[in-house]
This record gives sequence, structure tokens and C-alpha cells, in this order.
Amino acid sequence: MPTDPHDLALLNAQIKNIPYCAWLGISVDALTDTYLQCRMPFVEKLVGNKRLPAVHGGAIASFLETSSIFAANYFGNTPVDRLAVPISVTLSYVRSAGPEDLIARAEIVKKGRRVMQMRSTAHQSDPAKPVAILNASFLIPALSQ
Amino acid sequence: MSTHREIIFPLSIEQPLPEALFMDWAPFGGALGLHLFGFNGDQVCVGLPWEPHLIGNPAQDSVHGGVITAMIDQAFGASVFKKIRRREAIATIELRIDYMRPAQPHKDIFCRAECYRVTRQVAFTRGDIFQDDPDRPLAHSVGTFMRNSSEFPDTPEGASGMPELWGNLDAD
Repeated sequence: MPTDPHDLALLNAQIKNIPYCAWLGISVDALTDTYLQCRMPFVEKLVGNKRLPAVHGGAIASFLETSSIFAANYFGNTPVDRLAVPISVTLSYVRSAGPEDLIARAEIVKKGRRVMQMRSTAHQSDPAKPVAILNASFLIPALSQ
Repeated sequence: MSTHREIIFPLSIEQPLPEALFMDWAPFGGALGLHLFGFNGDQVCVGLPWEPHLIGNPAQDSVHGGVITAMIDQAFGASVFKKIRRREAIATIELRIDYMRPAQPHKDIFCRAECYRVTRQVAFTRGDIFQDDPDRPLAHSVGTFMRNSSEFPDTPEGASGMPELWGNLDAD
């Protein structure tokens, strides 16, 4: 599944239709065989600690959850108009996120019949230095009604 | 949101709300529309008016799960300050959230949070998210925070201005 500009354009059109994701400025950057990569540009309103400064943990969580929802839909081949529904989410904050863009790589851990388990890792300039990691379980949309 | 205040906290124990104490360092909380709603002992309640830009699922107009998580993170932080009776630099270590039901559109959202254990290094928190009824939460969460995660300067906005404010809060 190499990066297909058509898929990227579709995903970005879809993400812009979600008010909260558009408000956060999240876009889908790249698709590989194993992960979907999102970007959230740094803006002042994302700050949680003005002195460091550091991006708010809640903004990072929102970003990571968004990336894993889109990866769940994309890799799970589920209907585009039915978003994966989060059941349980665990966030580990590894280091503070400075005033720079955030990048998240989201992948499937396990796709079951009804539940999909996802992992998404956020970093800034260096992919080897994650700032936060999300592990989450989602109801697969077609059955989540 | 005044109708909800009585549900969450009996008016007799309503406390002054020094909002700035909790929110002024976090522009993201302000951008979302979060505000400190009240205290009851160690419990802290944070409120969020429903706004269209918070929608995460346009099919149902329900708010994004990330909004809930951001609210929890902020409320947990506030509950730590309430517990230790001062503000210091804290950093989220881990958050765990279960989403039990989707948020209903056009209704305010509340988070009731409590720091139930604090050690020299770590603070342990738990809380619920709800709309109309605190007994029917939308989400439940636990979190851990590192204390004194960075320098906290002794300025008028910092720790030194705190004692009078806490004096008011602890009238009970």
C-alpha cells in the first residue's frame, strides 16, 4: 500500500469535515504499508504550559486519537462515513512537547471481528524521541451501531 | 450552566472560584472554553459549554473524544493543586479513559475530578465526565502526574500569591 495521492486527498477532505480536527489544524501527511502519519502544526492556542512552553496534554491526546481513528478506518477498510468509536484509551506522556509541529504515526495492533486495537506515537523533529504514545481499542464502525 | 451547579454541589458548600489559579497557564483550556466550576472538598468540577468546533463526529454532532480527554487532563491538574493546596509544575505521566456513551449535542459537559493520593513525587487522580446526570457518566478516567516536573518561579503569579486564595477556599 504505497502512498497514493488520491487516498491522501480523500482522507484530508474527510478530516477537514470534522470540525474539531479542522480547528486543531490536523492533516494526513503520509501513508505507508504499516502506518498513517498525521501532522498538527504548532499554534499558540495549543499551549498547556506557557513557561516551558509545552503543548497541552489534551491537545496531544486529541491529535493521537484522531490519527488512530483515521488509521483504523483506513487500514480496516471500514466505511469512510462511519468513524471508529473509541472504547478505552491509554496515553503515556514520555517527554514534554515544545513549540514545534507534532507528527503522529498510527498503526493497527490487532484487527478483530468487532474490536480494533491501535497504537499511535507522537514525535516532533526526531522520530526516535517520542513525546506521547496512545494505545486504544475501537469498535469497528460497521458493527458499532 | 447555573442549573447544574446545584446538582453537582449543594449551594451551601459553594466555594469562591479563583479560576485564574488553575487556567491562566493553559491557553488550550481557554481556547476550548473550559472553566473551573466549583469545589467540594477534594473534588474539582470543570465545565465546558457545547460549541460546534468541538464536534468530532458530524453524523451525530457529538464532541470529539479528544475534547473529553483534554478536559480530564485539565481537571485532574486542578484537582492536584486543590489537594496539595498550592500550585506547582506538574506533568501528566499517564491517562486512562473509558468512553461509556457518546456526548449528546448542544449540552454542556462537566468533569468531576479528585486527587485521591499524593506522594512526594506522584499524584493519583480519578474522575468522571457527565452532562445532565452525574450518576450517568459518559466517561471514566484515572491519571497519574509527576510532581515538581520543572522549575516553578516564586513570582506573584506563582506560589507566593497563593496563601490568601487558599484561605478563602478552605472556609469549610
